Amino acid sequence: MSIFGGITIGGRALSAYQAAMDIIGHNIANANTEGYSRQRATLAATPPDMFTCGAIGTGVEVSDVRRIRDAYLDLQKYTELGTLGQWEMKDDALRQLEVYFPEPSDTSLNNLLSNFWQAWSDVANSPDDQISRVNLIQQSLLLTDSINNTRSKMGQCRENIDELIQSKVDEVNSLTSQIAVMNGQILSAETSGHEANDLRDKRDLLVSQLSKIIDFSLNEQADGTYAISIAGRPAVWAKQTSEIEAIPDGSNGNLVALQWQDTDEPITPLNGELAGLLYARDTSIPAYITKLDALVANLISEVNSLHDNGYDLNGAAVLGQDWANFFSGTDASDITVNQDIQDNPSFIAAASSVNPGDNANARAIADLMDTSIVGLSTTFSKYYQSQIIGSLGVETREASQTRENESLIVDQLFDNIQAVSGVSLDEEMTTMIQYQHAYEAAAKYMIMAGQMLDALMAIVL
Amino acid sequence: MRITSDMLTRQVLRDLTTVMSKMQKTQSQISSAKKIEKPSDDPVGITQLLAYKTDSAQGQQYTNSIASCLDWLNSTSTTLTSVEDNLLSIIDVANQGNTGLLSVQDRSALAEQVNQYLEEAYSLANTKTEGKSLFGGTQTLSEPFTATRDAAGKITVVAVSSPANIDNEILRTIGKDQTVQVNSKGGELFSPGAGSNMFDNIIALRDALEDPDFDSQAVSGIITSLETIFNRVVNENAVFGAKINRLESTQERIQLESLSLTERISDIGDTDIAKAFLEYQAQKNIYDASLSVGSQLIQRSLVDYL
Repeated sequence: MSIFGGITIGGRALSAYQAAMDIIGHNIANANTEGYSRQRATLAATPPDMFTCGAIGTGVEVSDVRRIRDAYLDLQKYTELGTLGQWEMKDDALRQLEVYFPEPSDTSLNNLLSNFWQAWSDVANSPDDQISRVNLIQQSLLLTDSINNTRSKMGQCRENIDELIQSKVDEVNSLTSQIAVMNGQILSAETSGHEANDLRDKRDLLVSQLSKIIDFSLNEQADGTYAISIAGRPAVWAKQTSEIEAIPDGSNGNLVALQWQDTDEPITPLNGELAGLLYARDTSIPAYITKLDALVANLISEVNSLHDNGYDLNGAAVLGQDWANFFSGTDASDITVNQDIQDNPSFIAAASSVNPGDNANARAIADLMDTSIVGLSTTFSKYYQSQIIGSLGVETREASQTRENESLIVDQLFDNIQAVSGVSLDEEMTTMIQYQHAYEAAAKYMIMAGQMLDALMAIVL
Repeated sequence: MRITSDMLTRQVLRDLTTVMSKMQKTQSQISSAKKIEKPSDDPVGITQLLAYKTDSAQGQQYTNSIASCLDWLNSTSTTLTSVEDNLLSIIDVANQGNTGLLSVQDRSALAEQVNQYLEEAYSLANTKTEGKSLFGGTQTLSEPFTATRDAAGKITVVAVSSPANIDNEILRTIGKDQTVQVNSKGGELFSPGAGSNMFDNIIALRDALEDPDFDSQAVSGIITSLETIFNRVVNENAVFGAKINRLESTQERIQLESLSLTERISDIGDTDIAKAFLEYQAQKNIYDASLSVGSQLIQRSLVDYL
C-alpha cells in the first residue's frame, strides 16, 4: 500500500463528490423542465487491494448515473393521455354545436316555430285581407332563415374539424420523425454501455405528446431504440419513420380520411385526439344534422300537402300552380318560402273553397302545431325539444363529465409520476449538504495525506 | 410518497382553477338571471322549460283567436239588437196602419215611414266590420244582399247576392280541436224562404199601405210573419250572447293557466338571486382561503433556511 494510495483515495473522493454535486446541480437546474426525471449518482466503492491482512479499500467512484423513472406509470400515462385527448375533442365539438342552439332564448328555433304557428292562426282569423298574410310570410322567412343558418353552421363545424385533423396529422408526422432522430442519438450515445438519461427523457416527452394525439403500441428494442406501431403498422423503427396523411374522401363529402402515405392503407385511430375528432365529425354532429333535416322535411311535406289543396285569396285553386307549395326546398339547408308566394301574398291558400272568408285550410295548417306527426312520432315542438335539444344537452354534459373525470385521472397519474421522478428541492438541498460535508472531509483528508507525504519526504531528504 | 414542489404548485393551481370556475358559473347565472344558460346545464330542465314555453305560446295563440272571435260576435250582436229595434218599429207602424180608421194620406205617410225602415233593414243586413260583411257567410268581401230599385229609387226587391255561400259557417279555432262559429247565417236569418223573408214582408207592407185599396187581412198576415221573424232574430241574438259568455270565461281560464305556466317557467329557468348570492359568497370565501394557504405553501422551501 503506497503512500500515494491515500492521495489517490482522496482524489477519487473529491472527483466522485464533484460529479455527484454536478448531478445535484443538474437536477436543481431542471426542477421545472417538462418530462425531466431526477438523476442520482450511484456511488460504488472501487475494487479493493488485497493484502495479507485483508482487503483495503481504494476509494469511491460514480459507477452509474441513474434516471429514476417508472416505465409502467409511463405506459399508463400514454393510455390516459390518449383518452383525455379523445374526450377533450369530443367535448369541444359538442360545446361548439351547443352554441348554435341558443335555447332558451327568443330568437331560437323553439320560439320561431311557435311564432310560425301563431302567424297561421292570425291568417285563419283574418283570411280575407293581406295584412295577416304579409306577416305570415315574414314569420316564415324568419324561421327558414334561422334553420338555414343553423344547418350551415353545423356543416361548417365539420369542415373546421377537418382542418384541425389536418394539423394534427402534421403534428404526428413531425413527432414521429423527431422520435426517430432521438432514436439515432440515443443509439450512438449509449455505445459506452450507460444510458443517455437526458436524451431518453426528451424522447419520452415526444412519445407523451404523440400519445395525446393518436394511440399506438410501444416496444423498446434491445439496442435502446423505440419501435412504435400505429394501428398495427410500424410508424417508427430505429431511425426510420412511416408517415400518415389525411386525404379527401369522396364517399364522405370530401372530408378527409387517414391513411398511410406509402401504401394508402386506411387508419382508424381508437384513442387520442384524432379518434375524438373523427367521432365528433362523423358520428356526433351528423346525428343532429339528420334530426334537424328530419324535422324540416316533415314540416315541409305536412304544410305543403295541406296547402296544395287550398284556394288562394283570388278564389283560384292553387293545385298545379307554381305556388301550390308553401315551402320550397327539401331539407334544412334549402328550406325557404316559395318565391311566388313571397312576391304575392294573395297566393297563400287559406281557404278550402273560392270564398275569401273561408279559413278552413289555414286552420288545418295552424292545427299542425299540436298534431302528432307520423314521420316524427310526436309533435314538431316536442321532437325539437327532446330529440334535438334534450339529446344534445345530455350528450354534451356526458362528454364534459367524462373529460373532467379523465382530467382528474391524468392529474393523479402525473402526481404519481412526480412522486417517483420529480425533483424535490428540499431533497436535493439535503443531499447537497451531505455531499458538501463529504467533499470537505475528503479535502481535509487530502491535506492530511499530503502532510503525511511531507513528513515522509522530510525523513528521506 | 414523495412530494415535490411541482406537485404542490400543480395542486394549488388545480384547486384555484376549480373554485374560480365555480365562481364564474355562479356570477354568470346572477348577471344573466338565468339558471339554465345552455342545454348541457340541465338537459331535463331545459326540455321541460321549452315545453312550457311552447304551451304558453299556444295559450297566447288561442287567446288572440278568442279576441278576434269576440270582435265579430260583439259586432253581430249589436247589429242584431238594432235589427230587433227596427222590426219593432215596423210592427208598431203596421199595427197603426191596420186600424180601419185612417185616410189614404195617413196611410201614405205611414208607408213612407216603412220605406225608411226598409232602407235601414237593408243597410243593417249589409253591415261590415273591418271591411268584412257580417251576414255574408264566407263571401265576406262583397255585400250579401242586393236591392233592385225602381225609377223613383224605391227598393222593389232585395235578393241574396250569392245564395251558395251566404249560409256557410265562419269558424275560429279557440282550443285544441275546439272551434266556434262566429257568424250569423244571413240567408237563414233574413231570407230563408218564401213567406218568412224579412225584406219581402216589409216591402209588401209598404206597398199595401200605399195601395188605395187597403187589404187589412193581408196586412194582418204580414204582421204575424214579422212577429215570427222578430222572434227568430231575438233567439239568434240570445245564441250570440251565450257564445260571448262562453268565450269570455274560456279567455279567463287560459289567462290563469298562462300565469301558472309563467311561474313554472320562472321556477325552472330563472336564477334564485338570493340563493346564488349566498353560494357566491361561500365560493369567494373558499377562494380567499385557497389563495392564502396556497401562497404560503408554495413560497417555503428548505432553501430559505440554509
